[in-house]
Amino acid sequence: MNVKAYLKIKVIDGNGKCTYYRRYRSRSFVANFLRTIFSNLSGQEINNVNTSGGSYTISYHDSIIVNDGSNDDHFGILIGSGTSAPTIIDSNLSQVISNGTSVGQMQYGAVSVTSPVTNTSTNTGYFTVSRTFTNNSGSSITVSEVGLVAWSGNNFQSNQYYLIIHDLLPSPITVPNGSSLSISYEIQVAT
Amino acid sequence: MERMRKANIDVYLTVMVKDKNGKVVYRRRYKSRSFVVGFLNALYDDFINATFSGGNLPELNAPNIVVGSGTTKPSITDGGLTSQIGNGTGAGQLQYGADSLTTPIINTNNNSASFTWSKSFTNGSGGNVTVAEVGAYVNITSTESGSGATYFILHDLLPSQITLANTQVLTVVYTITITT
Repeated sequence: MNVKAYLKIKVIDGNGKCTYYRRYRSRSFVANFLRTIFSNLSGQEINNVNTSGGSYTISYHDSIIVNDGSNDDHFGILIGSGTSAPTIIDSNLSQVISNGTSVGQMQYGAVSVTSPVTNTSTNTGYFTVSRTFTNNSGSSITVSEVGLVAWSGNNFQSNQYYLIIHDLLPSPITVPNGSSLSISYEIQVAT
Repeated sequence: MERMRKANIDVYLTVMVKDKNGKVVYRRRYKSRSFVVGFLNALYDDFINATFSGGNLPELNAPNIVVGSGTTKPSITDGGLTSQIGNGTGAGQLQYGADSLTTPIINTNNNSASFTWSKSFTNGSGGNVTVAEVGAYVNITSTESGSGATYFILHDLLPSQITLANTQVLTVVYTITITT
């Protein structure tokens, strides 16, 4: 087995000090990811499930785009407060924490995707997908799940948002008001 | 580091040889260790909405399993097989079939899903041909312009080489599995 995903979580307080850091080995890809790769490679159109829970037909032109901009919670890394164990057919987080500054909301930063790094000494390579969430809601917010949602594109494609990774955190994180939460998925291959 | 459970993409490689009468004379199934950096590069280009000449909106396509006679151990930077066997009926060549993919099967009981990607190679060369390595390419192209790039994504050295007699058919199957 040589594709691994790691999930890194960091909380930074209002003074820029790191107050929490964990790195987990993710268990996270769900069926939508596999279906999309299949459809792309085979040229066949099959059904997928979008983040609203609706079935749609994957065009084999569909992309797997995750680099969302800031202040948007449609795709890229999403966070939530749900506590259900992920399943292979999940189509969204159990309870998404939406973008904003109202009670229970966090401000979504832009998604960053680093170029792949290759290490020929260890025969490994990886790239990371990251996003920072800032709590300006006025009170603490607890985050217990993380996911990665892709956008299919909107030209010849389906123009859909679909979940490809879903992780329940082993320990929920409480993010105080004024603090920020950084989430990174590191996707690795080892040969 | 705390462990949530396990990495969840597995790849299995099945190789099967049939004689001219369709009888299976050899079959092995290995757990592949085979993704190379081309897979990361392809996924990266998809993730970032990579721009190719004339447009963006990348799509994955053009699956192409290949076989070879090289015996060098795969490395992360491999851009192709060590020694790819050419398509044809000349000495040392094999006739390449079409790549075939089966619709994903989703099993909600054990939270797993998989699809298979296969190709057959027929020996019409008149002599024996030995296969020692297997790999695969994909393309990432712009939906808008069709321009893009080719990526070598899988490379496996077979634990045991396979000698295909004339008229025998080798079938290579990659089974890609995820578990949640």
